[in-house]
Amino acid sequence: MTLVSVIFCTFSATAAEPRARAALPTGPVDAGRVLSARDPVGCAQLGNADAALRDQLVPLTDPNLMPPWLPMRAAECLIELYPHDPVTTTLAAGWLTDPGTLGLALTVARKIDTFAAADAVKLAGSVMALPEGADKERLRARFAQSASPDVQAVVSPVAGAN
Amino acid sequence: MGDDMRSDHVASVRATGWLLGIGLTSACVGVSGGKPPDDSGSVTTSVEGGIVVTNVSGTSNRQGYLKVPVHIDEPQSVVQVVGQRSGWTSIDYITDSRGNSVFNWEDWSYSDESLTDCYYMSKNTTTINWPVREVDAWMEPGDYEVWVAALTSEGRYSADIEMRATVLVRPDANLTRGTLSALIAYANGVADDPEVVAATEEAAAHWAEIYASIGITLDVEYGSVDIDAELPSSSVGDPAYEALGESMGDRKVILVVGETITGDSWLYGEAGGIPGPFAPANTGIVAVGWLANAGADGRFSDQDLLLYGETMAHEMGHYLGLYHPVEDGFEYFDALSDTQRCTSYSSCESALGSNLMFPYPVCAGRTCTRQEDVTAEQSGVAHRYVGVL
Repeated sequence: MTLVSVIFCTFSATAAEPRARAALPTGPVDAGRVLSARDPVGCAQLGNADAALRDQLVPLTDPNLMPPWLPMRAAECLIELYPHDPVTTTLAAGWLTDPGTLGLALTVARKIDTFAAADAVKLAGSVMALPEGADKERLRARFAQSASPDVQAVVSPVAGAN
Repeated sequence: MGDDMRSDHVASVRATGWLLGIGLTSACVGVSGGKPPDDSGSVTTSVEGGIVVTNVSGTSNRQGYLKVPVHIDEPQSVVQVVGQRSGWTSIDYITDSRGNSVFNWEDWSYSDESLTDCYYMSKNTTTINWPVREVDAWMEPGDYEVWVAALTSEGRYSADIEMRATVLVRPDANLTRGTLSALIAYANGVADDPEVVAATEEAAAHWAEIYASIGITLDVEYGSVDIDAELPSSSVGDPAYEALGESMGDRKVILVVGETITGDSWLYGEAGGIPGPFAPANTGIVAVGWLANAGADGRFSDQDLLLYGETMAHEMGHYLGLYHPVEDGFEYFDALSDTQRCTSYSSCESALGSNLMFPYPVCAGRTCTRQEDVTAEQSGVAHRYVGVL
Protein backbone atom coordinates (compact mmCIF):
# COMPACT_ATOMS: atom_id res chain seq x y z
CA MET A 1 0.00 0.00 0.00
CA THR A 2 1.36 3.35 -0.91
CA LEU A 3 0.29 6.39 1.00
CA VAL A 4 0.63 10.10 0.80
CA SER A 5 -0.51 12.73 3.20
CA VAL A 6 -2.65 15.47 1.82
CA ILE A 7 -3.75 16.22 5.30
CA PHE A 8 -4.40 19.42 7.03
CA CYS A 9 -1.89 19.56 9.82
CA THR A 10 -2.51 21.53 12.96
CA PHE A 11 0.12 23.22 15.01
CA SER A 12 -0.04 24.70 18.47
CA ALA A 13 -0.25 28.44 18.77
CA THR A 14 3.10 29.22 20.26
CA ALA A 15 5.36 32.03 19.20
CA ALA A 16 7.67 29.56 17.52
CA GLU A 17 5.05 27.55 15.67
CA PRO A 18 2.48 29.38 13.61
CA ARG A 19 -0.76 27.55 13.09
CA ALA A 20 -0.98 26.70 9.46
CA ARG A 21 -2.00 24.07 7.03
CA ALA A 22 0.68 21.81 5.72
CA ALA A 23 0.78 18.85 3.39
CA LEU A 24 3.40 16.39 4.44
CA PRO A 25 4.61 13.67 2.11
CA THR A 26 5.21 10.51 4.08
CA GLY A 27 6.75 8.19 1.54
CA PRO A 28 6.47 6.85 -1.97
CA VAL A 29 3.21 7.75 -3.64
CA ASP A 30 0.62 6.23 -5.90
CA ALA A 31 0.74 9.08 -8.37
CA GLY A 32 -2.49 8.05 -10.07
CA ARG A 33 -4.53 8.26 -6.89
CA VAL A 34 -2.85 11.43 -5.71
CA LEU A 35 -3.37 13.20 -9.02
CA SER A 36 -7.00 12.08 -9.13
CA ALA A 37 -7.76 13.88 -5.86
CA ARG A 38 -10.34 16.60 -5.97
CA ASP A 39 -8.10 18.86 -3.88
CA PRO A 40 -4.59 17.99 -5.00
CA VAL A 41 -1.06 18.37 -3.74
CA GLY A 42 1.62 19.94 -5.92
CA CYS A 43 3.95 18.09 -8.28
CA ALA A 44 6.90 18.56 -5.94
CA GLN A 45 5.09 16.57 -3.27
CA LEU A 46 4.89 13.49 -5.45
CA GLY A 47 8.44 12.69 -4.38
CA ASN A 48 11.91 12.74 -5.88
CA ALA A 49 11.97 13.63 -9.55
CA ASP A 50 13.67 10.40 -10.52
CA ALA A 51 13.16 8.01 -13.40
CA ALA A 52 10.73 5.88 -11.40
CA LEU A 53 8.35 8.78 -10.86
CA ARG A 54 8.69 9.82 -14.49
CA ASP A 55 7.78 6.30 -15.56
CA GLN A 56 4.71 6.45 -13.32
CA LEU A 57 3.64 9.75 -14.83
CA VAL A 58 4.01 8.93 -18.51
CA PRO A 59 1.14 6.40 -18.74
CA LEU A 60 -1.04 8.71 -16.62
CA THR A 61 -1.03 11.23 -19.48
CA ASP A 62 -3.22 8.83 -21.49
CA PRO A 63 -6.06 11.08 -22.66
CA ASN A 64 -8.57 8.30 -22.09
CA LEU A 65 -8.01 8.15 -18.35
CA MET A 66 -10.56 9.44 -15.89
CA PRO A 67 -11.11 11.73 -14.06
CA PRO A 68 -10.36 14.26 -16.79
CA TRP A 69 -7.91 16.21 -14.66
CA LEU A 70 -5.70 13.14 -14.12
CA PRO A 71 -3.90 13.25 -17.49
CA MET A 72 -3.78 17.04 -17.27
CA ARG A 73 -2.05 16.93 -13.91
CA ALA A 74 0.28 14.14 -14.99
CA ALA A 75 1.29 16.19 -18.04
CA GLU A 76 1.83 19.27 -15.95
CA CYS A 77 4.03 17.36 -13.50
CA LEU A 78 6.05 15.79 -16.31
CA ILE A 79 6.72 19.24 -17.74
CA GLU A 80 7.43 20.78 -14.34
CA LEU A 81 9.68 18.00 -13.05
CA TYR A 82 11.30 16.76 -16.27
CA PRO A 83 11.35 19.71 -18.70
CA HIS A 84 14.64 18.70 -20.31
CA ASP A 85 13.90 15.00 -20.59
CA PRO A 86 13.48 13.84 -24.20
CA VAL A 87 10.53 11.74 -23.05
CA THR A 88 8.71 14.92 -22.06
CA THR A 89 9.51 16.90 -25.19
CA THR A 90 8.52 14.00 -27.43
CA LEU A 91 5.18 13.63 -25.69
CA ALA A 92 4.63 17.40 -25.75
CA ALA A 93 5.28 17.55 -29.49
CA GLY A 94 2.69 14.84 -30.03
CA TRP A 95 0.05 16.58 -27.93
CA LEU A 96 0.52 19.81 -29.86
CA THR A 97 -0.29 18.24 -33.19
CA ASP A 98 -2.96 15.72 -32.15
CA PRO A 99 -6.45 17.22 -32.58
CA GLY A 100 -7.68 14.93 -29.75
CA THR A 101 -5.37 16.40 -27.11
CA LEU A 102 -6.17 20.10 -27.11
CA GLY A 103 -6.25 20.18 -23.31
CA LEU A 104 -2.78 18.69 -23.05
CA ALA A 105 -1.56 21.01 -25.81
CA LEU A 106 -2.81 24.01 -23.87
CA THR A 107 -0.92 22.72 -20.85
CA VAL A 108 2.26 22.63 -22.94
CA ALA A 109 1.60 26.14 -24.18
CA ARG A 110 1.01 27.41 -20.68
CA LYS A 111 4.25 25.86 -19.43
CA ILE A 112 6.36 26.58 -22.51
CA ASP A 113 8.88 28.70 -20.62
CA THR A 114 9.75 25.67 -18.50
CA PHE A 115 11.35 23.94 -21.49
CA ALA A 116 14.87 24.54 -22.78
CA ALA A 117 14.90 27.58 -25.07
CA ALA A 118 15.54 25.63 -28.25
CA ASP A 119 12.88 23.04 -27.43
CA ALA A 120 10.39 25.79 -26.63
CA VAL A 121 10.85 27.45 -30.02
CA LYS A 122 10.55 24.11 -31.79
CA LEU A 123 7.39 23.15 -29.89
CA ALA A 124 5.75 26.51 -30.47
CA GLY A 125 6.66 26.42 -34.12
CA SER A 126 4.90 23.10 -34.61
CA VAL A 127 1.58 24.76 -33.86
CA MET A 128 1.91 27.02 -36.89
CA ALA A 129 1.70 23.94 -39.11
CA LEU A 130 -1.74 23.05 -37.77
CA PRO A 131 -4.81 23.66 -39.95
CA GLU A 132 -6.40 27.05 -39.43
CA GLY A 133 -9.17 27.07 -36.85
CA ALA A 134 -10.20 27.87 -33.31
CA ASP A 135 -7.85 25.33 -31.71
CA LYS A 136 -4.82 26.66 -33.54
CA GLU A 137 -5.75 30.23 -32.66
CA ARG A 138 -6.20 29.34 -29.00
CA LEU A 139 -2.81 27.65 -28.86
CA ARG A 140 -1.13 30.45 -30.76
CA ALA A 141 -2.56 33.00 -28.35
CA ARG A 142 -1.25 30.97 -25.41
CA PHE A 143 2.25 30.69 -26.87
CA ALA A 144 2.21 34.42 -27.55
CA GLN A 145 2.03 34.98 -23.77
CA SER A 146 5.46 33.36 -23.35
CA ALA A 147 8.16 35.43 -21.71
CA SER A 148 10.54 34.37 -24.47
CA PRO A 149 10.76 36.78 -27.44
CA ASP A 150 11.85 33.85 -29.59
CA VAL A 151 8.69 31.91 -28.81
CA GLN A 152 6.56 35.00 -29.31
CA ALA A 153 8.17 35.58 -32.67
CA VAL A 154 7.63 32.06 -33.96
CA VAL A 155 3.88 32.18 -33.29
CA SER A 156 3.31 35.74 -34.49
CA PRO A 157 0.88 36.10 -37.41
CA VAL A 158 3.77 37.38 -39.53
CA ALA A 159 5.75 34.22 -38.85
CA GLY A 160 2.71 32.18 -39.77
CA ALA A 161 2.33 34.07 -43.05
CA ASN A 162 5.90 33.25 -43.90
CA MET B 1 7.78 50.36 16.21
CA GLY B 2 6.84 50.79 19.85
CA ASP B 3 3.47 49.12 19.28
CA ASP B 4 5.14 46.20 17.56
CA MET B 5 7.45 45.66 20.51
CA ARG B 6 4.60 45.74 22.99
CA SER B 7 2.61 43.33 20.85
CA ASP B 8 5.44 40.86 20.80
CA HIS B 9 5.82 41.10 24.57
CA VAL B 10 2.13 40.38 25.10
CA ALA B 11 2.26 37.58 22.55
CA SER B 12 5.09 35.94 24.43
CA VAL B 13 3.01 35.93 27.60
CA ARG B 14 0.13 34.39 25.71
CA ALA B 15 2.38 31.70 24.29
CA THR B 16 3.48 30.74 27.78
CA GLY B 17 -0.14 30.63 28.84
CA TRP B 18 -0.94 28.15 26.10
CA LEU B 19 1.79 25.89 27.34
CA LEU B 20 0.33 25.89 30.84
CA GLY B 21 -2.87 24.44 29.49
CA ILE B 22 -6.55 25.07 29.12
CA GLY B 23 -7.14 26.04 32.74
CA LEU B 24 -5.25 29.30 32.42
CA THR B 25 -6.92 30.06 29.12
CA SER B 26 -10.34 29.46 30.59
CA ALA B 27 -9.51 31.86 33.39
CA CYS B 28 -8.65 34.52 30.84
CA VAL B 29 -12.00 33.97 29.15
CA GLY B 30 -13.82 34.28 32.44
CA VAL B 31 -12.27 37.63 33.24
CA SER B 32 -13.22 39.28 29.99
CA GLY B 33 -16.34 37.50 28.78
CA GLY B 34 -19.52 39.45 28.15
CA LYS B 35 -18.00 42.88 27.82
CA PRO B 36 -19.74 45.37 25.54
CA PRO B 37 -17.99 46.41 22.33
CA ASP B 38 -14.82 48.38 22.77
CA ASP B 39 -15.54 52.11 22.92
CA SER B 40 -12.94 52.75 20.27
CA GLY B 41 -14.77 50.60 17.72
CA SER B 42 -17.93 51.08 15.69
CA VAL B 43 -21.00 48.94 15.08
CA THR B 44 -23.67 49.25 12.37
CA THR B 45 -26.59 46.89 11.87
CA SER B 46 -29.01 46.21 9.02
CA VAL B 47 -31.42 43.45 7.99
CA GLU B 48 -30.95 41.76 4.63
CA GLY B 49 -33.50 39.15 3.55
CA GLY B 50 -33.94 37.61 6.96
CA ILE B 51 -30.30 37.94 8.00
CA VAL B 52 -29.30 40.49 10.61
CA VAL B 53 -25.99 41.90 9.40
CA THR B 54 -23.74 43.79 11.79
CA ASN B 55 -20.48 45.40 10.79
CA VAL B 56 -17.98 45.86 13.58
CA SER B 57 -14.64 47.61 13.51
CA GLY B 58 -12.05 48.23 16.17
CA THR B 59 -8.51 47.43 17.24
CA SER B 60 -7.12 44.28 18.80
CA ASN B 61 -6.70 44.30 22.57
CA ARG B 62 -3.53 43.52 24.53
CA GLN B 63 -4.13 39.83 24.00
CA GLY B 64 -4.29 40.37 20.25
CA TYR B 65 -8.06 39.94 19.87
CA LEU B 66 -10.94 41.93 18.57
CA LYS B 67 -13.82 40.59 20.63
CA VAL B 68 -16.76 40.82 18.29
CA PRO B 69 -20.11 41.15 20.09
CA VAL B 70 -22.92 38.91 18.83
CA HIS B 71 -26.45 39.40 20.07
CA ILE B 72 -28.97 36.64 19.43
CA ASP B 73 -32.69 37.49 19.70
CA GLU B 74 -34.32 34.42 18.23
CA PRO B 75 -33.98 30.83 19.44
CA GLN B 76 -32.29 28.29 17.19
CA SER B 77 -30.20 30.86 15.36
CA VAL B 78 -27.11 30.34 13.27
CA VAL B 79 -24.35 32.91 13.17
CA GLN B 80 -21.46 33.56 10.87
CA VAL B 81 -18.61 35.87 11.74
CA VAL B 82 -16.16 36.98 9.08
CA GLY B 83 -13.05 38.58 10.55
CA GLN B 84 -10.90 40.71 8.28
CA ARG B 85 -7.68 42.63 8.58
CA SER B 86 -4.63 43.39 6.50
CA GLY B 87 -2.48 40.49 7.64
CA TRP B 88 -2.78 37.13 9.37
CA THR B 89 -5.84 36.30 11.38
CA SER B 90 -7.85 33.51 12.98
CA ILE B 91 -10.94 32.96 15.13
CA ASP B 92 -10.10 31.20 18.38
CA TYR B 93 -13.18 31.28 20.61
CA ILE B 94 -16.86 31.93 20.95
CA THR B 95 -17.83 32.70 24.54
CA ASP B 96 -21.23 33.26 26.11
CA SER B 97 -22.16 36.03 28.52
CA ARG B 98 -20.89 34.00 31.47
CA GLY B 99 -17.53 33.53 29.81
CA ASN B 100 -18.11 29.88 28.98
CA SER B 101 -16.59 28.61 25.77
CA VAL B 102 -19.10 27.77 23.08
CA PHE B 103 -16.24 27.12 20.66
CA ASN B 104 -12.62 26.68 21.75
CA TRP B 105 -9.94 26.13 19.12
CA GLU B 106 -7.88 24.04 21.52
CA ASP B 107 -10.57 21.36 21.50
CA TRP B 108 -9.73 20.78 17.85
CA SER B 109 -6.08 21.66 17.36
CA TYR B 110 -4.77 18.19 18.19
CA SER B 111 -7.80 16.28 17.00
CA ASP B 112 -7.78 13.95 14.01
CA GLU B 113 -11.17 15.42 13.10
CA SER B 114 -11.77 18.68 11.25
CA LEU B 115 -14.64 20.98 12.21
CA THR B 116 -13.77 24.41 10.81
CA ASP B 117 -10.86 26.24 9.23
CA CYS B 118 -11.34 29.34 11.34
CA TYR B 119 -8.53 28.70 13.81
CA TYR B 120 -5.89 28.12 11.16
CA MET B 121 -3.83 31.21 10.44
CA SER B 122 -5.16 32.73 7.27
CA LYS B 123 -4.29 35.84 5.35
CA ASN B 124 -6.74 38.71 5.61
CA THR B 125 -9.97 36.75 6.18
CA THR B 126 -11.22 34.15 8.68
CA THR B 127 -14.72 32.73 8.94
CA ILE B 128 -16.71 30.73 11.47
CA ASN B 129 -20.26 29.51 10.97
CA TRP B 130 -21.88 28.29 14.17
CA PRO B 131 -23.24 25.80 15.04
CA VAL B 132 -21.63 23.38 12.61
CA ARG B 133 -23.32 20.16 13.75
CA GLU B 134 -26.37 19.10 15.75
CA VAL B 135 -24.18 18.27 18.77
CA ASP B 136 -22.80 21.81 18.77
CA ALA B 137 -26.26 23.13 19.75
CA TRP B 138 -28.00 26.23 18.47
CA MET B 139 -27.07 29.76 19.35
CA GLU B 140 -29.87 30.57 21.82
CA PRO B 141 -30.91 34.13 22.73
CA GLY B 142 -28.21 36.02 24.57
CA ASP B 143 -24.95 37.83 24.15
CA TYR B 144 -21.80 36.22 22.87
CA GLU B 145 -18.32 37.26 21.87
CA VAL B 146 -16.33 35.92 18.96
CA TRP B 147 -12.58 36.30 19.43
CA VAL B 148 -10.91 37.32 16.20
CA ALA B 149 -7.12 37.27 16.46
CA ALA B 150 -4.56 39.54 14.84
CA LEU B 151 -1.44 37.49 14.23
CA THR B 152 2.03 38.06 12.89
CA SER B 153 3.36 35.77 10.17
CA GLU B 154 5.12 33.85 12.97
CA GLY B 155 1.83 33.28 14.78
CA ARG B 156 2.34 35.87 17.52
CA TYR B 157 -0.69 37.79 18.75
CA SER B 158 -0.58 41.50 17.95
CA ALA B 159 -2.16 44.35 19.91
CA ASP B 160 -3.53 47.62 18.52
CA ILE B 161 -4.20 46.24 15.05
CA GLU B 162 -7.11 47.67 13.08
CA MET B 163 -9.64 44.96 12.36
CA ARG B 164 -13.19 44.59 11.16
CA ALA B 165 -15.79 41.87 11.26
CA THR B 166 -19.12 41.10 9.68
CA VAL B 167 -21.65 39.28 11.85
CA LEU B 168 -24.55 37.53 10.12
CA VAL B 169 -27.35 36.06 12.23
CA ARG B 170 -30.48 34.25 11.14
CA PRO B 171 -32.99 32.09 13.01
CA ASP B 172 -33.54 28.73 11.36
CA ALA B 173 -34.88 25.55 12.88
CA ASN B 174 -35.58 24.05 9.45
CA LEU B 175 -32.80 21.73 8.38
CA THR B 176 -34.73 20.08 5.58
CA ARG B 177 -35.61 22.99 3.29
CA GLY B 178 -33.62 25.99 2.18
CA THR B 179 -32.49 28.05 -0.79
CA LEU B 180 -28.94 28.89 -1.76
CA SER B 181 -28.63 31.83 -4.12
CA ALA B 182 -25.53 31.63 -6.27
CA LEU B 183 -23.86 33.80 -8.88
CA ILE B 184 -21.89 31.95 -11.54
CA ALA B 185 -19.56 34.56 -12.99
CA TYR B 186 -17.45 34.00 -16.09
CA ALA B 187 -13.95 35.47 -16.08
CA ASN B 188 -12.66 37.46 -19.03
CA GLY B 189 -13.19 35.72 -22.35
CA VAL B 190 -14.81 32.57 -20.95
CA ALA B 191 -18.34 33.68 -21.79
CA ASP B 192 -17.23 34.04 -25.42
CA ASP B 193 -16.76 30.27 -25.72
CA PRO B 194 -20.21 28.75 -26.32
CA GLU B 195 -18.94 25.23 -25.59
CA VAL B 196 -17.76 26.23 -22.14
CA VAL B 197 -20.91 28.21 -21.40
CA ALA B 198 -23.15 25.28 -22.41
CA ALA B 199 -21.06 22.86 -20.37
CA THR B 200 -21.14 25.14 -17.33
CA GLU B 201 -24.92 25.48 -17.51
CA GLU B 202 -25.35 21.72 -17.81
CA ALA B 203 -22.95 21.12 -14.93
CA ALA B 204 -24.78 23.68 -12.79
CA ALA B 205 -28.02 21.82 -13.46
CA HIS B 206 -26.38 18.65 -12.13
CA TRP B 207 -25.10 20.59 -9.09
CA ALA B 208 -28.69 21.75 -8.51
CA GLU B 209 -29.94 18.13 -8.68
CA ILE B 210 -27.44 17.03 -6.06
CA TYR B 211 -28.35 19.86 -3.70
CA ALA B 212 -32.09 19.32 -4.31
CA SER B 213 -31.64 15.80 -2.95
CA ILE B 214 -30.93 17.32 0.48
CA GLY B 215 -33.63 19.95 0.28
CA ILE B 216 -31.50 22.86 -0.87
CA THR B 217 -32.89 24.73 -3.85
CA LEU B 218 -30.11 26.23 -5.90
CA ASP B 219 -31.09 29.59 -7.36
CA VAL B 220 -28.46 30.40 -9.99
CA GLU B 221 -27.84 33.67 -11.75
CA TYR B 222 -25.18 34.05 -14.45
CA GLY B 223 -22.91 36.99 -15.08
CA SER B 224 -19.43 38.03 -16.10
CA VAL B 225 -16.63 39.54 -14.10
CA ASP B 226 -13.56 41.53 -15.11
CA ILE B 227 -10.99 39.03 -13.81
CA ASP B 228 -8.24 37.32 -15.79
CA ALA B 229 -9.30 33.82 -16.89
CA GLU B 230 -6.20 32.47 -15.15
CA LEU B 231 -7.97 32.92 -11.84
CA PRO B 232 -6.16 33.97 -8.69
CA SER B 233 -6.31 31.29 -6.00
CA SER B 234 -9.47 31.66 -3.94
CA SER B 235 -7.86 30.15 -0.87
CA VAL B 236 -5.02 32.68 -1.00
CA GLY B 237 -7.48 35.43 -1.87
CA ASP B 238 -7.51 38.41 -4.19
CA PRO B 239 -8.95 41.93 -3.92
CA ALA B 240 -10.86 41.34 -7.17
CA TYR B 241 -12.98 38.72 -5.42
CA GLU B 242 -13.88 41.12 -2.63
CA ALA B 243 -14.77 43.78 -5.21
CA LEU B 244 -17.03 41.28 -6.97
CA GLY B 245 -18.83 40.55 -3.71
CA GLU B 246 -19.26 44.23 -3.00
CA SER B 247 -20.67 44.87 -6.47
CA MET B 248 -23.61 42.50 -6.00
CA GLY B 249 -26.99 43.87 -4.99
CA ASP B 250 -28.07 40.79 -3.05
CA ARG B 251 -25.97 38.53 -0.91
CA LYS B 252 -25.12 35.29 -2.75
CA VAL B 253 -22.41 32.70 -2.84
CA ILE B 254 -20.16 33.20 -5.86
CA LEU B 255 -18.64 30.65 -8.20
CA VAL B 256 -16.17 32.11 -10.70
CA VAL B 257 -15.41 30.12 -13.85
CA GLY B 258 -11.99 30.70 -15.37
CA GLU B 259 -9.86 28.69 -17.75
CA THR B 260 -7.41 27.75 -15.00
CA ILE B 261 -6.65 28.59 -11.39
CA THR B 262 -3.34 30.28 -10.61
CA GLY B 263 -2.12 29.41 -14.08
CA ASP B 264 -2.07 25.67 -13.50
CA SER B 265 -4.06 23.38 -15.74
CA TRP B 266 -4.69 20.90 -12.99
CA LEU B 267 -6.59 22.79 -10.33
CA TYR B 268 -10.19 22.15 -11.29
CA GLY B 269 -11.85 23.90 -8.37
CA GLU B 270 -11.04 25.60 -5.10
CA ALA B 271 -13.15 26.91 -2.23
CA GLY B 272 -12.24 30.13 -0.48
CA GLY B 273 -12.57 28.53 2.96
CA ILE B 274 -14.26 25.86 5.07
CA PRO B 275 -16.62 27.52 5.57
CA GLY B 276 -16.38 30.38 3.11
CA PRO B 277 -17.51 33.90 3.97
CA PHE B 278 -21.07 34.95 3.13
CA ALA B 279 -19.77 38.49 2.87
CA PRO B 280 -17.52 40.33 0.43
CA ALA B 281 -13.99 39.09 1.09
CA ASN B 282 -10.82 38.41 -0.82
CA THR B 283 -11.49 34.69 -0.33
CA GLY B 284 -15.23 35.05 -0.86
CA ILE B 285 -15.68 32.76 -3.85
CA VAL B 286 -15.38 29.26 -5.21
CA ALA B 287 -13.05 29.18 -8.21
CA VAL B 288 -13.48 26.65 -11.01
CA GLY B 289 -11.09 26.10 -13.91
CA TRP B 290 -13.00 24.70 -16.86
CA LEU B 291 -9.95 23.32 -18.69
CA ALA B 292 -9.09 20.73 -16.01
CA ASN B 293 -12.71 19.61 -16.03
CA ALA B 294 -12.72 19.23 -19.82
CA GLY B 295 -9.52 17.18 -19.62
CA ALA B 296 -6.93 16.06 -22.12
CA ASP B 297 -9.05 16.62 -25.22
CA GLY B 298 -10.18 20.07 -24.06
CA ARG B 299 -13.80 19.14 -24.70
CA PHE B 300 -16.63 18.05 -22.43
CA SER B 301 -17.83 14.45 -22.71
CA ASP B 302 -20.97 13.32 -20.89
CA GLN B 303 -18.76 11.88 -18.13
CA ASP B 304 -16.81 15.15 -17.95
CA LEU B 305 -20.06 17.06 -17.52
CA LEU B 306 -21.17 14.88 -14.61
CA LEU B 307 -17.80 15.39 -12.93
CA TYR B 308 -17.91 19.14 -13.68
CA GLY B 309 -21.26 19.33 -11.86
CA GLU B 310 -19.87 17.31 -8.97
CA THR B 311 -16.89 19.67 -8.91
CA MET B 312 -19.23 22.60 -8.36
CA ALA B 313 -21.24 20.76 -5.72
CA HIS B 314 -18.12 19.43 -3.96
CA GLU B 315 -16.29 22.75 -3.84
CA MET B 316 -19.39 24.63 -2.76
CA GLY B 317 -19.81 21.86 -0.17
CA HIS B 318 -16.48 22.92 1.30
CA TYR B 319 -17.68 26.54 1.20
CA LEU B 320 -20.79 25.53 3.17
CA GLY B 321 -18.58 23.91 5.81
CA LEU B 322 -18.07 20.30 4.71
CA TYR B 323 -14.76 18.45 4.90
CA HIS B 324 -13.71 15.29 3.14
CA PRO B 325 -15.04 12.41 5.26
CA VAL B 326 -11.53 10.97 5.12
CA GLU B 327 -8.32 12.53 3.91
CA ASP B 328 -5.98 10.63 1.65
CA GLY B 329 -3.66 8.95 4.15
CA PHE B 330 -6.53 7.75 6.37
CA GLU B 331 -5.32 9.72 9.39
CA TYR B 332 -7.70 12.67 9.33
CA PHE B 333 -11.49 12.69 9.16
CA ASP B 334 -14.44 15.01 9.28
CA ALA B 335 -16.14 15.52 12.65
CA LEU B 336 -19.39 13.84 11.65
CA SER B 337 -20.61 10.57 13.14
CA ASP B 338 -22.40 9.20 10.07
CA THR B 339 -19.45 9.27 7.67
CA GLN B 340 -17.68 6.01 8.28
CA ARG B 341 -14.05 5.96 9.40
CA CYS B 342 -11.99 3.82 7.08
CA THR B 343 -8.35 2.92 6.90
CA SER B 344 -7.50 1.76 3.40
CA TYR B 345 -8.17 2.76 -0.17
CA SER B 346 -10.41 -0.25 -0.74
CA SER B 347 -12.45 0.13 2.45
CA CYS B 348 -12.81 3.90 1.93
CA GLU B 349 -13.86 3.55 -1.68
CA SER B 350 -16.34 0.87 -0.68
CA ALA B 351 -17.85 2.83 2.21
CA LEU B 352 -17.62 6.38 0.91
CA GLY B 353 -16.78 6.25 -2.80
CA SER B 354 -20.20 7.58 -3.80
CA ASN B 355 -20.15 10.42 -1.25
CA LEU B 356 -20.10 13.95 -2.63
CA MET B 357 -17.23 14.94 -0.38
CA PHE B 358 -14.99 11.91 -0.99
CA PRO B 359 -11.49 13.21 -1.84
CA TYR B 360 -11.27 11.73 -5.33
CA PRO B 361 -13.58 10.24 -7.95
CA VAL B 362 -13.55 6.46 -8.15
CA CYS B 363 -13.15 5.63 -11.82
CA ALA B 364 -12.82 2.47 -13.86
CA GLY B 365 -11.90 3.03 -17.47
CA ARG B 366 -13.94 5.88 -18.89
CA THR B 367 -16.64 5.68 -16.21
CA CYS B 368 -16.61 7.09 -12.69
CA THR B 369 -18.89 6.29 -9.77
CA ARG B 370 -21.41 9.06 -9.30
CA GLN B 371 -20.54 10.99 -6.14
CA GLU B 372 -23.89 12.41 -5.19
CA ASP B 373 -24.59 10.90 -1.77
CA VAL B 374 -24.84 13.29 1.16
CA THR B 375 -25.32 11.93 4.68
CA ALA B 376 -27.84 13.36 7.12
CA GLU B 377 -25.14 15.07 9.16
CA GLN B 378 -23.46 16.48 6.06
CA SER B 379 -26.85 17.82 5.00
CA GLY B 380 -27.27 19.39 8.44
CA VAL B 381 -23.93 21.18 8.14
CA ALA B 382 -24.91 22.61 4.75
CA HIS B 383 -28.33 23.73 6.03
CA ARG B 384 -26.73 25.51 8.96
CA TYR B 385 -24.64 27.68 6.64
CA VAL B 386 -25.96 31.17 7.21
CA GLY B 387 -26.51 31.70 3.48
CA VAL B 388 -28.89 28.74 3.08
CA LEU B 389 -32.13 30.59 3.65
